[in-house]
Amino acid sequence: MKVLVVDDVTINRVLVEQVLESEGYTVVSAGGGQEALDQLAEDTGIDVVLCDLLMPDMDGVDVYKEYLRRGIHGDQSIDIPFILLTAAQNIGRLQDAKDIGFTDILTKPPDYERLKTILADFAANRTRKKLADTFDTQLKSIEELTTSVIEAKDVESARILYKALDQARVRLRKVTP
Amino acid sequence: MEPNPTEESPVNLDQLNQSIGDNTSLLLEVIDIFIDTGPAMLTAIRAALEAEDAQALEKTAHALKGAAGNFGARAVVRLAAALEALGNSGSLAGAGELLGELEGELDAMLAALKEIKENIPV
Repeated sequence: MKVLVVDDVTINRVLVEQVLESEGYTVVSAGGGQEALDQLAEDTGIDVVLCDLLMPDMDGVDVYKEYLRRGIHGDQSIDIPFILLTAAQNIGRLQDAKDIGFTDILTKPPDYERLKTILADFAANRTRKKLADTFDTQLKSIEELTTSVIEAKDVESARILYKALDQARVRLRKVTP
Repeated sequence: MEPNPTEESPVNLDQLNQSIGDNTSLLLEVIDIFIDTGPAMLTAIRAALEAEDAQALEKTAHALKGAAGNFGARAVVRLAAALEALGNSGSLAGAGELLGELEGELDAMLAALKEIKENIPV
């Protein structure tokens, strides 16, 4: 899983990068909001963004707003989670972050255990979603096959395919949240 | 690697060491980064104050607060937070005194970090 860390203060970036890399995450980083948006435009492999709030060029809420407007490679349907990591005391701006859809808001210095848990949950959900998508595709192709077998009046093959369809549905239910 | 960190110590690395799993090379790296960048952050705060730029004061003080927070530097964090709040309010009254205090506390913090660094076995 690839995490983009956005923070204008080098020391904060290095710490988060190292802690997450030691957990097996791939980490890329940006020293400001504009750089983060550029990376999001260039790198479709980013799965989650960990963003500071108060930065010199643009603040974290504006980065997320701009990301939502642009999407990845201009595709607004690709929605990746943004986590706010901040030492800010500006309650109004933190509320803005919640309202706009930051999935989590963590204070600095970060509680790394909580951060690891949040990222592990994202990773698990992502794996589950990928599995569900794969099963969904399989189900569709079996359904199509079954329809064509029925149309060809091949009863025995249709029976086998129905059984496969049932089994696939059971497996799908197990992995879908 | 402070033997007996107390609340009065300029820094307290307990939380940091726990977060990074007592990784001494990473600890050395972040101490070096702070020693290199901390004074420049203070310079930026001073420049913001001299320019009477409240917004810049808020941002520069915020950056130092966040960076120092990694080292459990309570006094530096408290003073930087106070300057950040002043910047946010737009009123710079009393900021000069806070900056004076912050300079002293940052010096103490940097000295403590240098001492810790020297005592880390390489």
